[in-house]
Amino acid sequence: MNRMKTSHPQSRALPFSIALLLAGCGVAHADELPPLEASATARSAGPWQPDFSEAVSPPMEPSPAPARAEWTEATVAREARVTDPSCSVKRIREWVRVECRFNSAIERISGPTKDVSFGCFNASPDTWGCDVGSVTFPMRRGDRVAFQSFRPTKWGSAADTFITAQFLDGDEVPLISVQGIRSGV
Amino acid sequence: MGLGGLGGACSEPPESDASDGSPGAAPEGSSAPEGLELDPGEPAPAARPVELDVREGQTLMRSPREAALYLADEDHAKLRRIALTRRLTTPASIDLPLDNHDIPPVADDPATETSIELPGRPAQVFVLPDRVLVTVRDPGLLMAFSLGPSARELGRVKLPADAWGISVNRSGTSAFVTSAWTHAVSRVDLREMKLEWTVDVAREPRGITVTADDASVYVTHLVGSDLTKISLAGGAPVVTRVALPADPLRSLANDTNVRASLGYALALAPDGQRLFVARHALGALWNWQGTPTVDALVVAKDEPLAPKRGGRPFGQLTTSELSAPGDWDASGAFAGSTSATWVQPRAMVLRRRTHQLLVASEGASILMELDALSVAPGVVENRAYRLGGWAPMAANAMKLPPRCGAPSGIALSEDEDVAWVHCRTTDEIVAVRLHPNGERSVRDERIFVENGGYQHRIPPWGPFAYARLDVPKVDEELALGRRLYFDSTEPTVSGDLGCAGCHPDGRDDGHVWREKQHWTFAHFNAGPALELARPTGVDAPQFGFPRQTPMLAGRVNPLGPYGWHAESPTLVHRLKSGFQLHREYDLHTDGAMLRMRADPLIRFLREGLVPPPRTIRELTPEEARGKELFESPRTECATCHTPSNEYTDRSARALPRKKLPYFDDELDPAFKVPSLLFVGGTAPYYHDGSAPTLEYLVEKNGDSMGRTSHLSPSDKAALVAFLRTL
Repeated sequence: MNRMKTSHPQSRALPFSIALLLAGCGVAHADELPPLEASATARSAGPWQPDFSEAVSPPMEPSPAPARAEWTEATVAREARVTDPSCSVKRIREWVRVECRFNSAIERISGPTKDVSFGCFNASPDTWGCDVGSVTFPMRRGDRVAFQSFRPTKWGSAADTFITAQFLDGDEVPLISVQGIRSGV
Repeated sequence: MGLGGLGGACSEPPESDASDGSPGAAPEGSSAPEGLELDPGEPAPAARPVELDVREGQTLMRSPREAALYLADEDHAKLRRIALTRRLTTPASIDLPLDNHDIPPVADDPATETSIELPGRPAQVFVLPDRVLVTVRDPGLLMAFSLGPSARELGRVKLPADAWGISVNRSGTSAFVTSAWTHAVSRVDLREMKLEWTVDVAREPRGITVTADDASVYVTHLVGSDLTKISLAGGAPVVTRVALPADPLRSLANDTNVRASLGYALALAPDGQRLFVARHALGALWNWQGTPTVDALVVAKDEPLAPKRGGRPFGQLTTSELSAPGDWDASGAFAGSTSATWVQPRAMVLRRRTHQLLVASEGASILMELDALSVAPGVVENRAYRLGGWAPMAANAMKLPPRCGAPSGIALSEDEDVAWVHCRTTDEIVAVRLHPNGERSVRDERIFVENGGYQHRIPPWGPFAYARLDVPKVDEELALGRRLYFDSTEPTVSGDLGCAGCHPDGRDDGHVWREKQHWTFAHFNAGPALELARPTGVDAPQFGFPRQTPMLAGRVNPLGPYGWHAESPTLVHRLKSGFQLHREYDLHTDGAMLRMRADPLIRFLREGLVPPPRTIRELTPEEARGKELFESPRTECATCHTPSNEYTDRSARALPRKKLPYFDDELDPAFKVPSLLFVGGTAPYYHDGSAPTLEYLVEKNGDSMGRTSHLSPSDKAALVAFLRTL
């Protein structure tokens, strides 16, 4: 089948616009956030279509939760599907961290609660909500989990991102999906 | 990795002597007219076993050996073969990004097709390398035809009436077929074209698939959320039920009233680990009519993929709690996405390369792309391919999309860059350019502001060709009624759910709805019941009155009256009330607008809906005894259910009834005597669904309807047997 000429203007524009926005916000504690370049790399590599080619299976036995420095050094998980440009995913062994910018909260909908932790980074003491919200959780064989993040609107908080992960016995790696809700059709 | 990697309907590549290897290109040196594909001729019969990756039938399916689609055209009782011409396979080249006013070119031609008349209406096809199988509803048949434009019948097998869904095992040696109205599943030996066995299953089985190891068959139903599983490992088939809650992340925990309907379509992941089931979740939150959903089953464990939610039990949450997701604490959170655009999911395929599901929305004329990697694929919409264009905006216009009414079948190209969709009520095939890597659509791709208003930008991804089928002309009013029946977007007729959403095939969804009073108007709600605080000084009911969906096909010929209390003198009056009932806001419109839509709909209800199959035969001795009891003056059944008038005198009669929990007391205890035609297939019974079976109804009746308390157990069984023949 003939291929048409195509380009993806949105995916080229987004990293630039986010960089401008963050520069204007004057984000503090940058060493606690994944570098912007990592997110940009994820988008240009097509986070819409996950890439499993280099994903490494988690260990069979539970491992200790990664330290902060490990998260900082880790690259984005290309096997995760991320359709919300304000979010990124990393995985270290069985541990998954999802970070979403410009949200007010992340909450668990269902799934195991053991070893699940939430993070909230707020650059300014004069505002509420999280400039970057995160959830970290282990994905062990048989686990399935669902979270959602919220973004503040003038009508109150609105569900913004739907985050799920699953790791069935026959899977080689966890299947991770981070979907934007409000930017829709 | 992922869901099991790539694969097409068959592991053997399609035959093509095209120079570029693509089925859409003409062979080198050919002199084919522009836009017309040369037929490669009848393929050689398969001399060796095949391995099928896709095992579910469809209304529309691509042939693995030819550049052609096969279509089960139910409304015209035909098997159609549509050639995949270059216009249908290769979209015109476009330069991205498109300007606001650019419109990608769309071809519009008659289909290049041949067709075969069938002895009855077909439901699904399954295309094997050497033949095409077709299920026929009435008489119930599985038919086999050779491939190619000059197809001939190769054989047929008689099945229980209303044969519908088909699945073929991996080796292509056995077919499994559901029979909807007769609630049966059959196995057919495809080598001998012989029926091997038939088993009884729950009401209205539709979609069916067989696992890769041939150990199990899974069946979805038009009514109810449970699946049927038939285990094949031990020789004799063993039938069990598998619980698969509908849209559990957007439903109240432990809400037993959340049912599912419209279970037409299912898709097994290539690695066989997950079974995706598309249907409608009645009673899920955020929308009066419930939500379309795709629920996934973990096949190895027969348990839902979506993790179970916590939360307080059914009936203990208030509307104030529900209105603010994020304030849950111990009550448990719901997924906050309110997506319900793609109502009436009618067909589904798995787009393996992008790990996505494509669902045809019969009501909204949309092909919806969902994330198959999510534990709840239906919660978030990834991209909607608008198949029919935009409805006209003029105030008095019939606001229907100009093309592609009631999408009912999907086929994918081998590279999964193109989808073909059968548009049932506009009798055409639409070719859709899919986004190459499944990128999510964004709002500004489609809408921009100009001259103070929102304008629609046509996206580059979507329809690029329409192929019109060769069908006889019907009068415009009937054709319009047909379109309106399935459509969910015409704002006067539907509040985002078409007639076919609750009355699929003119039957019923088996659900007890709530008729609630909202200030000045009444409207239906699928559920759930809530412990609502009654506003001060307001006595209006809050839970709603129970209203089980009635069956329509074959029951709406009389002049009237209609309505639960016989309050509508004619069907026109009933439809006008219905237009208001089936939405959650006040429908401010005039009688002329309502009449413009009611009249065509009535034509279709009476002339277009096909009643379920009935076998006219001599009654058995038990059934004859039941008839005698029914007509006897001592039981008085025939007093109200008059045989000469479709088994109803259409009067409203008050019967002693017990109020159900979480429903309101009836203001009017008199209910119209329903017709008993087809009563054997419309469980549960009564307006409140309180009798799950006919046996239960007759047993518990006592003398509240006529007199049955004096009947012996065998006489009660005879009465039920007779009722099932109506």
